[in-house]
Amino acid sequence: MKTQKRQPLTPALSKPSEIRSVLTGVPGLDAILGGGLPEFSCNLIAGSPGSGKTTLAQQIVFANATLKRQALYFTVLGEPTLKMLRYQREFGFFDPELVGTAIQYVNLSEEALERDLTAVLERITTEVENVEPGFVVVDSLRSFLGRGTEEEGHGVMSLDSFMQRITLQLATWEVTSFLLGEYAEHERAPVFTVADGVIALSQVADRNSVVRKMQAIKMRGRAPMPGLHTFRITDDGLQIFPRIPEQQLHRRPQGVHRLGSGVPGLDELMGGGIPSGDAVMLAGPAGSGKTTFATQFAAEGLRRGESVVIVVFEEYPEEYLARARARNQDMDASVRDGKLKLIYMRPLDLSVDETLAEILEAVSSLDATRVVIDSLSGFEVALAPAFRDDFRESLYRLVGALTATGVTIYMTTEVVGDYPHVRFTTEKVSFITDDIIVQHFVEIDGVLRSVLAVHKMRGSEHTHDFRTYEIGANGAVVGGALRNYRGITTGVPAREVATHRQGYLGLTSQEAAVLETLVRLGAGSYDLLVEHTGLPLGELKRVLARLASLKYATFTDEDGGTYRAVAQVGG
Amino acid sequence: MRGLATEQLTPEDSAPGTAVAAAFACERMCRTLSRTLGAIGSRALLMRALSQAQAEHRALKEVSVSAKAAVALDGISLATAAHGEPAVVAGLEGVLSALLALLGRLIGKDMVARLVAQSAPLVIAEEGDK
Ligand SMILES: Nc1ncnc2c1ncn2[C@@H]1O[C@H](COP(=O)(O)OP(=O)(O)OP(=O)(O)O)[C@@H](O)[C@H]1O
Ligand SMILES: [Mg+2]
Repeated sequence: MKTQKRQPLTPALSKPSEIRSVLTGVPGLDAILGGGLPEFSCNLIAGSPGSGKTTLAQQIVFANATLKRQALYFTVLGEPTLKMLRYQREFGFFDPELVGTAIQYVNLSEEALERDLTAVLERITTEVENVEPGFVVVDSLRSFLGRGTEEEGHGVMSLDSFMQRITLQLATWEVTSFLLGEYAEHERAPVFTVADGVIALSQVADRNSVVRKMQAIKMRGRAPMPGLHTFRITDDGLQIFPRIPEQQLHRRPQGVHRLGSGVPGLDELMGGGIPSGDAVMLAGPAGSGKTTFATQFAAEGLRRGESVVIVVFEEYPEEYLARARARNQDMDASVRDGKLKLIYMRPLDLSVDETLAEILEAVSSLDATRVVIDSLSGFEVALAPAFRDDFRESLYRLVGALTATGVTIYMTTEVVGDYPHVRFTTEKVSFITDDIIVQHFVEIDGVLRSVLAVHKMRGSEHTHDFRTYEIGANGAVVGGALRNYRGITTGVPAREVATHRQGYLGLTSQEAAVLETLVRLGAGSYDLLVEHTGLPLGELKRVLARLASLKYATFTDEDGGTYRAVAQVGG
Repeated sequence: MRGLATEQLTPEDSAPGTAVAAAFACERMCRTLSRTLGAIGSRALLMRALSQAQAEHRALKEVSVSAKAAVALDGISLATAAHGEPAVVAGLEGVLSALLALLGRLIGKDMVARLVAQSAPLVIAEEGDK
């Protein structure tokens, strides 16, 4: 037997006339309804075929029906009861023990098909008066049935008039009731006016994903949350992800203290670290080390005893942990200790509210201070197509709600294209971030180097310099400034003046420059080296000979001479 | 709504162990189920159960689900005359167990037991009214 938690009615308040609430037992729904359903209300659940009307009604009934307050579930023209029981019993909320006891199923398809709606209404009346239930469901009435067939004097009842009559009838019975009806999205039948509450379900198939939406069109005596809310049907039934109300998006005052980024050298650039509560965006091209930086940010938090939530879209948590382990960041113990939670978001049919609900849940259960979202590009891809169109708004709501909890958010995003066009991509998300770090690959003296710069820090001083960074066995390390290069943002910077060089033992600065070029190129012919160092050939040959004599380089006689650096660069 | 067996004989006449009593039991089961499954659904179930049982019981050859009444078995007296009472009773017991087995496969044995228990008092009350 399944252990089912019954939702008790909230206790009656002082006034006897106080309307009590029926909690639906459907995750997220009570919040949308403005605190459950009013007791004895008559509610219309409207939606297209397969939108989840039956499942919603069943879920509410299973959460509420007891032997003292039974539920009568009438099947009028819904799916055959046998089939419905067969499919519904697969849901986690379904409890076979309640069938035939607390919940009684009554099939009226014969009355509806072979007689008319008057007969249906009579049967419902008889059953309700016999059983005296607390809940009544009528599943379901299709809009085409009887529409416009009511003829004067023929006694044939139209669907509209049936719906209105049963609503009036139900009002006198002290039952909380649900009428399920197949109505098109913008259809407004007269019953919408008579019913106390109207819940509309819809689904949009978009390529190979389905997005389900719910709207509390009206709820008498309640203040339902406006707008369309996403919901999902899983083995446990419906789960609704309430749209975050605007007022929750207001910013929480930022703390003064700074969080270590975990990347040596980066904190200095950011005026001493990341201000707590900020939303940081790390943007860079593919392979720039975004995940490495993000992992270090997480590991730094763990090292300081903070709790961390990492949201990944592109790989499974195990893979993510394995990759971190390979970088000497063993986070497995933190997962075991409940200090770290990895959330893997299943791709392709997510809604933002769903993602957010899961992240917020993890943040509050771990009391996390850092959230890593790696990456936003993955998030965008993971969203159902219907949400991608409005990615900006989705992201705004995601970051807004997370910010309100006070966590520091570290997001990565992949930037495509050459630098001048990169702006466009980050612009899409920069409006929600407090701090932006941008990574580039630049060619310096013919060598591709990784550099980064802090582009923006809200309310804080920061360095504008470009810095090189290296990713080694122990992760990323930010190095020296590239202050002497112009045009870094073009990807091909030019040196303005002779840069400061670390002292290569016994070398002039010219010789050091050639060696550095050689180190970056790995090897190079005279032609290539002339091109990269800008030295005349004779001068270059002299320098290379000297480097060779000092064992900084070797000469191989291939197509006009190739030099190769051999010695470790000093420093 | 009454089947042939019960139209011709009152329940008092259908002494336990007779074909009429067995047919009556099948019909009553279907009427019980028809509250939950609908007359159409329970009639369809009875038809499937009967044809399954007919494969094993030659004595059910003449028996059919009535075309006129919602849920009723026809041809019981014909079958009894042709095959003898015990064979027909055994066949009808086969119908009943085929019906419950069928239902059990569809919605689970646990729920079948509850459905059968559920509306029995109501059906008896209905019958008492008539
Ligand atoms: N375990 C499950 N996981 C995910 N989705 C499910 C699951 N079980 C059912 N569904 C989905 O739920 C929907 C069926 O819901 P339901 O039968 O409640 O709809 P309905 O509005 O009553 O439909 P109809 O108008 O046909 O009666 C289907 O779209 C189905 O794909
Ligand atoms: Mg349905």
